[in-house]
Amino acid sequence: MDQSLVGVGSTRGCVPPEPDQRIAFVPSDLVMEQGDRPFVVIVRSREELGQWLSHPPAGLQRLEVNGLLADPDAWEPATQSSSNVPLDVFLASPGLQFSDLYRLVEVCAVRDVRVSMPASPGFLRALKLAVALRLPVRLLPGQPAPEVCAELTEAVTFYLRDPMVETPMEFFHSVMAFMCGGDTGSLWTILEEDPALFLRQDPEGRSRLPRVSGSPSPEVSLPTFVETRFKQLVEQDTECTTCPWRQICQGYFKWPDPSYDCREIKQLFSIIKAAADEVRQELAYQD
Amino acid sequence: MSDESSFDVGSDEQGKLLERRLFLQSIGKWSGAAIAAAVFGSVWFACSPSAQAGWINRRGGGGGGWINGRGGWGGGGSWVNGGGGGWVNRRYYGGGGSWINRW
Repeated sequence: MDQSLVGVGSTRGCVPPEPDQRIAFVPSDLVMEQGDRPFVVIVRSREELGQWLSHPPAGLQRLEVNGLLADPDAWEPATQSSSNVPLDVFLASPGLQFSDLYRLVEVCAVRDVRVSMPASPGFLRALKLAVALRLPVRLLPGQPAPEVCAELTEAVTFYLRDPMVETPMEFFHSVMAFMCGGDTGSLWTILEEDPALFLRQDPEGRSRLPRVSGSPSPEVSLPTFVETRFKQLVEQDTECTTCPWRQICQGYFKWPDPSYDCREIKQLFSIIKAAADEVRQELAYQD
Repeated sequence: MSDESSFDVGSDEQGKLLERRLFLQSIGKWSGAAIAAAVFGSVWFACSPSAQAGWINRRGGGGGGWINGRGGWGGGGSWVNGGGGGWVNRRYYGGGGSWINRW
């Protein structure tokens, strides 16, 4: 292990070992000794990327690469096979950055690469290009605006029906598995946003909740956040109470705004359910 | 890179799953990814995970299934028999059973 990498930063970024073995997402400059504890390092510069690829310490699961796709010179170290650290490449503006995905072609020949992106307007172009490059995708829907919901509908149809799609496209992929009987966990888990399992930190090294800035209030328990939040939504008689998709959603689309209208989201789930039912019928015919 | 034992079904069951996938592929109306999710999804997640396994081994869901995805799932027959670093267990999913092998 390269101590120059794991010993840098201040104590703000030190994550003490915990028995539940959550995975910590730590900004590169805040990483402290993690021992064998699994963690992900968030890198934002070509120097950080090169350092972690050259000297991956024990426990490093992957690198989350933010803001580097526009830099054509940043990826050279990643095309070397001295280590096989996987990369999760985050596109903040997929509708604008999609053509930069070509920079990953040589990288994914050497190591595992996933593309993560928010479901923001124009994301479908990036998603389709990622699929064409055979890159797995994690699409982060958040609370999508109506115009984005239309794009999501097109995306889920693409995922289900286009013969070109061979790689996992989350969250559709796991929801499809769920609809076919898989015990997938909730969307919070599928999208790696459950703070019980995926511990995110702000730039100051403090734990934070997904999709909101600032530190959680002291009464919020990260290990029970999803469960507690969903229980509150049901008690408040939101549409979660009667939602047919509540088991897998667990209030995902009601965060952070509990008044978000899930009508379009329910349509998405219905499309996947209809596909799962159709597959089931076809398999029954085969049997 | 991956754990062969993560796909814990017998050979009969494996054969049945592969047969189902081939059948759905023959229909020609579904993507390969959707077929993998439909046919193998219940097996990926069959083993209840610990919190750690939930993201490490991905049997419990979550987005880890992309790792070790190189090779294996692609064209040229590697969909079935794999090839390259990420091939292990690929034969079932054209991809995976654990998080490592989700497609």
